[in-house]
Amino acid sequence: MSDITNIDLQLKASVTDALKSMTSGMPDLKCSSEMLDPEPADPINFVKIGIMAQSPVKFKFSLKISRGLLISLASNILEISPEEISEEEYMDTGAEILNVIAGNCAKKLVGECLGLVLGLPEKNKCYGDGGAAPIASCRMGIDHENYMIMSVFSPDE
Amino acid sequence: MIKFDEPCNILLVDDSSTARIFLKKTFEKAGFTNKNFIMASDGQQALEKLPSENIDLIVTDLIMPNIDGHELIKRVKSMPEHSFIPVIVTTSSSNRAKEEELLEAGAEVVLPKPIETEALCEAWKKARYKMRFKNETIRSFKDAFCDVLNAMTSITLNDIVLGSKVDDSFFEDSLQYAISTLKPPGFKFIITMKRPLLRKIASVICDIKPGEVTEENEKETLAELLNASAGAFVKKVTSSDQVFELNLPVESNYPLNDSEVSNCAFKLKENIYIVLSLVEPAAVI
Repeated sequence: MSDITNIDLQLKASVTDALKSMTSGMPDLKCSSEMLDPEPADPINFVKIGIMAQSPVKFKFSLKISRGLLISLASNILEISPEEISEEEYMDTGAEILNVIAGNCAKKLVGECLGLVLGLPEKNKCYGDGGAAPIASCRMGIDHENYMIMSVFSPDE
Repeated sequence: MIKFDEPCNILLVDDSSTARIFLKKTFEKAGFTNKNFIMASDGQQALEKLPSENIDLIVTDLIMPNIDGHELIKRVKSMPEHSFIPVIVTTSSSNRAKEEELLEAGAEVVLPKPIETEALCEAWKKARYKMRFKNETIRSFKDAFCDVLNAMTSITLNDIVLGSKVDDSFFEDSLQYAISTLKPPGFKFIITMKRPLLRKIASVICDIKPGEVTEENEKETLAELLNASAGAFVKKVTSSDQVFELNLPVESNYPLNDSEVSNCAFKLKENIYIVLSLVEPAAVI
């Protein structure tokens, strides 16, 4: 049975834990409780990645992240200078970050016994693009230009 | 004391290059040195690298395109020459039922992503024991057996297959003896040999014509070969921190395809004619 009563807190904890574990020496991202417009002002500077659980509950997870912040994260994790990082490399990093966050969040949502089996991350995919509202969303960032929005959508979306 | 500095070839399998690099960094952060990391982006690539890279440990993601982690484990464990390689699975999506399936298929440990250094060290302890046992211990036993056989008969054996699975037909017209350990308890050394070859060896050792070798001669020969090989093996390893005390050899009928058994087979053309086996005590893991 899914427990989504604390989904906002669980999502925030999953994002914080994943980034803390995967990066080293990065400044902590600040969390904003205010919900943003799901479509960022400048879509060219944002990257979208989606992943869907295969079973037992088909939750969907989307990550929208500014290119600048994603390159900083990729640079930190891969230990390559930001100038040398290719699009393929930072997109791969974004997909892995989403994969880890979604996996951790999913476990918290449905419990250890059931667990969720995730599919493969899909680049340039965002489940909120059809206009559906997420059941939870978490915005974290360095400033108003460099931030990420992690969202969870219900299986019906 | 667990050592992290032994030279070791580790195959990292993940469709995400970020995950592979992160995993390599986690090994280094945990203090592992002397490790050669070989990268593969899915199970198919991993299988292609196995024959040429002399892999000691596989760390694989679960969800991957082409051949996924679960299928990779099943295939590795079905390959006689690679079935002894321990496999650690890393995944961001799993549950207890899936974990049990993976362990049943032959994974040593299932680790949740992102991998923490402490969890990786614990997984290493388990996998390292398997590596040492599957590789070094069975090789030492094999070397001891070859030395003993050569000293007693001047016969030299070639074409050895480590980690070999044994076909049921091998047991037809074969004889098996086993020695268990008193200290530490639970180890079992087993030798299974095709009788036509055993007859030839018995004829050399007993110094009688092959046609005159009795079943009693065969049994005595096999028991003596096992006793001497296990004794020679014990001499090899008593310099380390492990002390062995052996029981007497007894005729047995141990199933050699159990997951707890590691085998080393001697082949002549395509036919296995001797299998040396070790059973590890479950309590040691």
